[in-house]
Amino acid sequence: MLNNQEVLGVLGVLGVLGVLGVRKRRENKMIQSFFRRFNRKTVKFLAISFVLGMVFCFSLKTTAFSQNSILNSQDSQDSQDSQDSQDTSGLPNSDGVEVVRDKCVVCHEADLIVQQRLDRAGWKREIGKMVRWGTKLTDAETEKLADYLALHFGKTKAGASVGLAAKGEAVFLEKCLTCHEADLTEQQQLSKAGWEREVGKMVRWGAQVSEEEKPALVEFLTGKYGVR
Amino acid sequence: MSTRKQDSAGVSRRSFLTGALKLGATFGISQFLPEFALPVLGETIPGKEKLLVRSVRPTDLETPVELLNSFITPIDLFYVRSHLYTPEVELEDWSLSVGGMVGTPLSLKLDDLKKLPRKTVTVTLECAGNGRAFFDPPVAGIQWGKGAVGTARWTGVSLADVLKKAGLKSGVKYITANGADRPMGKVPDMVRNVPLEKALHPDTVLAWEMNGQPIPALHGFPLRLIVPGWEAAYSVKWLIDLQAADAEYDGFFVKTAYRFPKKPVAPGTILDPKDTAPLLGLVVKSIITTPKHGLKVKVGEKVMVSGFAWAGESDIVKVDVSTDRGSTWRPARLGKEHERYAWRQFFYEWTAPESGSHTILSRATDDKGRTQPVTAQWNQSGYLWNVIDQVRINAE
Ligand code: HEC
Ligand code: HEC
Repeated sequence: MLNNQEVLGVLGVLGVLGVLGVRKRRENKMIQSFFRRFNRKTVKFLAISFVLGMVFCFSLKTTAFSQNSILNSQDSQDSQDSQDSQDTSGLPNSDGVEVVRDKCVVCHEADLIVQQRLDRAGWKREIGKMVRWGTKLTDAETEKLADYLALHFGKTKAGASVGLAAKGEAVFLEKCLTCHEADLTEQQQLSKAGWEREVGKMVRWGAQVSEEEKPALVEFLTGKYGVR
Repeated sequence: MSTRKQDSAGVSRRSFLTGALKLGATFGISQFLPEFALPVLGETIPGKEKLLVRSVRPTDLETPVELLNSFITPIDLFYVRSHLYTPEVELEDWSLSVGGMVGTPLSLKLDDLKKLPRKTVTVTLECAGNGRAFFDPPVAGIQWGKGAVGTARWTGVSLADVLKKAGLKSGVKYITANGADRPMGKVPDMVRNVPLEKALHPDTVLAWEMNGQPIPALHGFPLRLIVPGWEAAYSVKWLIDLQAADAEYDGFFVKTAYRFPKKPVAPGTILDPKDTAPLLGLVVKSIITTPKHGLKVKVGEKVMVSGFAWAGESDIVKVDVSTDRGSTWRPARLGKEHERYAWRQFFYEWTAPESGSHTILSRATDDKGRTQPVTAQWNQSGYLWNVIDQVRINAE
C-alpha cells in the first residue's frame, strides 16, 4: 500500500507533467518532442490528475492541520494541571527546541535526551561527546542547546510551561524576598504539593501573592527547587 | 483512546523518518541506508511488549522487576541494551573471522562452530549501568532503574576451543571482539576486549542459542560472546570478528567507557580515564521483585517476599531481609536452582504486624564476604549500583 506522502508524490509528478503538456505549445523543443509521444487524451488525463492532485493535497493538509490542532489543544489542556511536557517527543517548546529537533533527534529519538537530569556543565560534556560523534554545531547553537537542556532536563525537572514559570519567577522576585533572602528557598527540594503548602504558609504569614499568581509561582518553584 | 494511540505512533514514525532523512543528509545516504531499514517504529520491539522502552533506537529496554519471578528469564522479559542500531544479519552472509596474533587466521560459518564440542552455561547478565537513575548527582546515560538484568541458558562452544584452532602466538594479552552493529556518523564502534585468562576459561563461550532457541536479533543473532560473571558489555552481540592482540584495544568502549574510579571519589568528581580501571566482574547485589513496590496488603495477611541475588563470578552464600528499616536482619531461604554464574532466588515469608507503611530491605553476601553497602560509590558513569534494596508496602 502507498502511504499518503507517496500518493501525493505520484500525483505531484503527474500534475507537473499535465501542466507542461497543456502549455506544451509555448514550451521549448525538448518538452514539445517529449509530449509528441502522447495523444491529446493522455495530456488531458495528466492535466485532470494535476487538478485532482491539488484538491487531494489541500484536503490532506487541512485534515492534518485539524488533527494537529486537536492534539495541541488536548495537550495544552493536559499541561494546565500536569507536569507533562507539551509535545509527544517530550521536548517542551521554548527557545532552543528547534536545535534539538534538527541536530539531536537524528541518530536517536528524544527519549534518550529527556530521561537525563544534568546540570549545565554536565550537558556541555554530553553535547561535546555528541559533537565528537558527528553532530555539527556552531558555538551559538551549543550555548543555546546547553541553556535549553539545562533548563528542561536539569537536576530538577522543569515544569511543563516555561512561560508560566517565567511569570512565576517575576512573582518570586517581587513578593518573596521582602522578609528574607532567596537562600531559604534555594535550599529546598519540594514536590509541587510541597511548594503549594509552603506558598500557602507564606501567604498566611503575610506574603502578598494573589490567587491568580499562585499557579505560576508554584510552577517556577517546582521547576527550580523541586525533587529530582 | 485507540485513535490517540495510533496518532502518536504515526507521529513518532514520521519523526523517525525525518530523523532518518536528516541522518542521510548529514552523513551521506549510502553509508546509512541499510540501518534505517531496520528499526521501523511500532514493529521494532515485537515480543518485548511488556518491557519499558528507554530508547527506541538504538534499542534499550528495561524489565519491570515485578515481572522477574523465574530462575530462567523468558526471552520476552529479557532486558535489551544496545549502543548502536540492531543489525539485520543474514546467516548466509555471516561468518566469524579470527585473526591478529594467531598462527592460522580463520573464517568460520555457524556449521563449522557446531562441529566443536557443545557447551551450555547459565549466566546472569547485568548491564553495568543498571541502577544508574539512582545516583545523586545524576549522571548521563540510559536511566536504568533496577531491571537491566536477566538470566538465560546460552549454548555454543568454548571460545578457548576456537582460539586453539587458530593457534595463539606468544605475547597475546587480549581477545578483541567486534559485532556486526555499525556506528552512525563519528560514533565509535562498539568493540570490547577480554583479558586472555578470562577468554581462555572454558566457561567463556560463543553462543548461538539462548534458552534453547536461536538467539533473537535483539540479543545478538547469530552469535554472541558470553563472558560469564562479568558486566554484560563484555558479552558482545552479533559477533563477527575476534582479534588476538598484545595490548588493550584503543577505542572509546574500552579506553573511556566501562571504567570505574581506581579510588573512591566525592560525588560529582569527573576523572580522567587514566584514573579509572576497566570494570570486570559484577559486584554482590540483590533485588526484591515481589511484592511490587507500593503494594497494599491486609494486616495479618501472609506476604511472600522474593527476589534474586547475584555476585558475578562469586557465589551467593546468604540473603538477609529486614522489615524494621535495617535494625534487625533475618536470613531468607535460597532457591533450589544454583549454578555457578547465575543469580540465586530468595524467599522470605512476612506478615504485616500492624497497619501503616512498611519497608522491606534485602542484603546479599557472597563467598568472599562481600556484602551490599548502605550508600553507593558515586562514579561519573553511574556503574555498579548495588546498594541494599528496598520496597515499601502499605498495610491496612
Ligand atoms: C551521530 C549520531 C548522533 C547524533 C547526531 C546525536 N547523538 Fe546522542 N547518542 C548517539 C548514540 C549512538 C547514543 C547511544 C550511546 C550508547 O547507548 O552508548 C547517544 C546517546 C545520547 C544520550 C544518552 C547518554 C549517553 O551518552 O549515552 C544523550 C543524552 C544524547 N545522546 C544526547 C544528544 C544530543 C543533545 C544531541 C545533539 C547535540 C545528540 N545526542 C546527537 C548518537 C548521536
Ligand atoms: C511576611 C514575611 C515573609 C514573606 C513575604 C515570605 N516569607 Fe518565607 N519565611 C518567612 C519567615 C519569618 C521564615 C522563617 C520561618 C522559620 O525560620 O521558622 C520563612 C521561611 C521560608 C522558607 C523556609 C521553610 C519554612 O517554612 O520555614 C521558605 C522556603 C520560604 N520562606 C519561602 C517563601 C516564599 C516562596 C515566599 C513568597 C511566596 C516567601 N517565603 C515570602 C517570612 C516570609
